[in-house]
Amino acid sequence: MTEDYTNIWSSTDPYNDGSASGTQIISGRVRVHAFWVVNGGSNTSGDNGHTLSRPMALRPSSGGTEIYKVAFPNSSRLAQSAARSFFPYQHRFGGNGILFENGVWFSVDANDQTGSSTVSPSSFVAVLYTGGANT
Amino acid sequence: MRNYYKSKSKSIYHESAQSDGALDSSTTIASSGTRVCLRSFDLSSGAAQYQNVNITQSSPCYVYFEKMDSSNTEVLKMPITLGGLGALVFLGGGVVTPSSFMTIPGPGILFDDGMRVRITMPANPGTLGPIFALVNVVYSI
Repeated sequence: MTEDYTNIWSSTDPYNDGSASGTQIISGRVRVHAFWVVNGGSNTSGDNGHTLSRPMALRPSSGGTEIYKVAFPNSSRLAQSAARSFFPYQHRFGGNGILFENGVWFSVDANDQTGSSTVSPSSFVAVLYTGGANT
Repeated sequence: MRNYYKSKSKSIYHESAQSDGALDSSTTIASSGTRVCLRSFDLSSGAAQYQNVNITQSSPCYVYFEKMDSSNTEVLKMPITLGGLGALVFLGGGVVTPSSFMTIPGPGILFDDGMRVRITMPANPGTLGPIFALVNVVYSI
């Protein structure tokens, strides 16, 4: 467990702040200790259940191997007028974290597994790390 | 400030009755010039009626953790968690409110110039009952 203060990169617009090959979010030699995601329901017309979200991942370079990936269903069936949902997921890595030797890239798959690019239920992501800095 | 400093906690609760306007409220945790370490926090929000549509993906309740410098530099902005319509639908009750206790690795996030917690809630028009937002903040000074 790190004894350093934790830095944080976060986004409330992850589908625009990421890209298919990855967008650099952190520079330097980095230990990533946690990856937070808030997932919900998109409530977009046509997303009425039976859909998945576009997976998101952390990579060590643009187009590099996906080191850690998350995927979610579209958790809401909201053709009905109902409150939207926001469910938090904490991925805590323990130990000294996952080492990224030269920066961290945040990627979002272009489509979900159904081939749709429209479903965007995740409303927040954060990377908690030591070493390095936000780009 | 480091691992062995004792923590403090502050609970911030806001409730919005139906027909209330939007809320934007800040609570000072530590004044400018003070070093603060944010160790963990808990978020939840809820609606008394499952059809309350005022909290949406584009307008959730938000919590902001900001410095107390002249521009109130934003360190973290995060939607406050809310349960949705569950598998047992249309029972007419309130919305489930999952609690999310977010723990920060290591000592925490350092705020080198004070800290405040800002909470925003969307307007709550109509006849669908109250909504609330709750944030518990655990920190060291």
